[in-house]
Amino acid sequence: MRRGLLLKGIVMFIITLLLSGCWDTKDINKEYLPAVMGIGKGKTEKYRIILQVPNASGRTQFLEKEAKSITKAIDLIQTDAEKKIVLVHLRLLLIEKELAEQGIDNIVDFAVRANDISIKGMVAVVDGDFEKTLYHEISPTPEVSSYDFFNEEAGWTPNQSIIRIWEAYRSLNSYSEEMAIPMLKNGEHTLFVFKGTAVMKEDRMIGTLDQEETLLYNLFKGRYTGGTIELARNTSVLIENANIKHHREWSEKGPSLTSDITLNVVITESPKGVNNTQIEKEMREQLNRKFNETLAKIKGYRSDVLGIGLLYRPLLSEGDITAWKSQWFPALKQRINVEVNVLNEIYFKNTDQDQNQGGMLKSR
Amino acid sequence: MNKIPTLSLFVLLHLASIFAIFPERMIAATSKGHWMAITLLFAVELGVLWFYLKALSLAPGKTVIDICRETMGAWITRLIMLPFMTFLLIELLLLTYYQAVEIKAVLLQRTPVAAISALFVLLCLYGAWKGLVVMVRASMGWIFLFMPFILFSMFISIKNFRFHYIFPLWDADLSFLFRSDFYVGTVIFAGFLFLGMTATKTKIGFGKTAAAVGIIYMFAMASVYIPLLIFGQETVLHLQYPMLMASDTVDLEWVVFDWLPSFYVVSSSGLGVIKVSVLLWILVAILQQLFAPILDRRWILSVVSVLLYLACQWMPNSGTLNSYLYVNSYFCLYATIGFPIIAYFAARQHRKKVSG
Repeated sequence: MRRGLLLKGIVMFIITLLLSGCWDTKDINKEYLPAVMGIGKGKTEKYRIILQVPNASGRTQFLEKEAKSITKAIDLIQTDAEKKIVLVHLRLLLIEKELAEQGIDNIVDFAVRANDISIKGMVAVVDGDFEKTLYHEISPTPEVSSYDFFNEEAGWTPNQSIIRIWEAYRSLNSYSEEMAIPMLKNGEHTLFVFKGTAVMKEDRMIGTLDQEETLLYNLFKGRYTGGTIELARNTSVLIENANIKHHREWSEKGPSLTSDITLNVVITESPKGVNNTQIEKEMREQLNRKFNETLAKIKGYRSDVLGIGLLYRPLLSEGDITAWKSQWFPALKQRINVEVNVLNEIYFKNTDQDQNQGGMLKSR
Repeated sequence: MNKIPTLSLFVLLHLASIFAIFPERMIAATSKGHWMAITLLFAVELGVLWFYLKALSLAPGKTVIDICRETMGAWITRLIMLPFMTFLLIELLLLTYYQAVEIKAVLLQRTPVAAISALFVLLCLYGAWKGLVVMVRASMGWIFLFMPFILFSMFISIKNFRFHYIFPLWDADLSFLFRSDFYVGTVIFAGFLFLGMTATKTKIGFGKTAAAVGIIYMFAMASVYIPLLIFGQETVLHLQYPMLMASDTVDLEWVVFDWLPSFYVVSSSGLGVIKVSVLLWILVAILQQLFAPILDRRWILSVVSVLLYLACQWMPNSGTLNSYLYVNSYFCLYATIGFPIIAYFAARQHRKKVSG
């Protein structure tokens, strides 16, 4: 009996000890939880940091400071702020274009190193007025968050490129791939407008892809779900799935790659009188041209943004993998062949194959 | 001791290192063909395990210490056990410090290491106090508590794989053999030592144990290849906790799993607790049997735990942890490869003595 009492006493004592460990805890209503961090070029200092803090009423609060390092700027914001700034809910890093052109190595390194920032956060480049984009706010609707713009479970489409902090970190270290960062500016009725994709070489931005080229980029990478391609004459198709086969070859002069892409599509809009074979042919020609134009453009940037180095990793020795970006990628010969297969027209029958059924067919 | 709980403790003790030091070291040990390094380690473990279990079955109802003492005398046994105990001491210190730092880095950023390690050592003290039999029984509970989280966080990250990072697959000149990081990976073997530390009549067959090693091998491969396939060798080299970062890349909308790493850390430190308790228990058992038979086991245990805690406070930074890991790999090789073979020959002698 007495022993049991003693044991309970000890347990109670330990609990009080544990509880006293909370002496420096800050309550959640005494914390600012920024969702977006803008990193721009400062007027006087190296960095200009703008934090967007959503509050309970559905509006956004903006906090801003300049400093030589990101951490110092946050520290300065903290000095003037009424609450503690906690970065655990930071989901979007917006980088000013000018800064991206000078290199984002330091920024990505900071985001991975800081153990309160989740490495799942997204990275984007602001193409346009940095200040306007960061201070942009649409009418208070608490359920719209800037993060959903990229969220694959919400508003993302294959027209947009997408990159997370850990992927950016991987590309910075990798011998076999470069990264592509989406570019945004402030929208009129939406938070952002997608402007295209920034092509990076190592940590510097060296070129751009427009929205159409971004779709092709995503197709090549296998991210096609829900992509829509528009052809001439009111025709547009929805990509159901894409099959990509890479034929790699390696000779003395360097690598050459032929990729066969088979697109399975359904027709969502089509004028009368154009049959499926015609659409397939037209689409094949158009995509082949566009794809190879895009390839030439990317090759001009000398940046392996498509991650072709990865495809060659099985064939290469360790030494060749490390020399990929400097030696082998510039020598790469690449071609893409597109095949299109129209699966169906959703609710319509395909009438142009069976002429017998066309007896009563009204031609429009 | 029952067979299934013993085997499950066997698996858990291995998993403890798989989720702590092992993946990071294997990745550092070689830049290609990691599976070769892992497979070699496990092949060696199977061999050593055979010797160890054979030694035990030659002298049923005796611990390895008894076997050594009865064939070679007390002083030689003490000499043989000294490096073994050094290994246990350093390993205990390193594991405790490693776990405390990991918990601090991920879960309790403002809590000092002193407080975390105090709790950690206290839990391990409790485990070792209760004895090995209780821990063996508790291991079943551990499996049900932690395995679902571990498996979930492993499987869910498949979404982020880039399979091409698996290449190059072949390491023709076995470069890992010349890297000290590879030998640090042998800490994983420490998981089988407990088998010979209790006097038991139930024989644990080599076949079942080998099957358990097979399961552990799968986990070991996964723990190295999951971060490797997500980040690629070039990137993963920079990461202190590769598995943890790999589980952080998973983005799910369901709120409970918003931050998988915390589950991962809880599971891995849970495994850490059981490993430290068992090693602590082994150390105390050896100390008592060989050096101070008159003292109560619990007194020795309390003193060792206090020393362990104090030594943990003395560690200045993770650089020291690293250098001690290298030093300890020599002791580890002795304790996990040399010692079972010595025990095997001692057991053969012992058998001759008894029958002859």
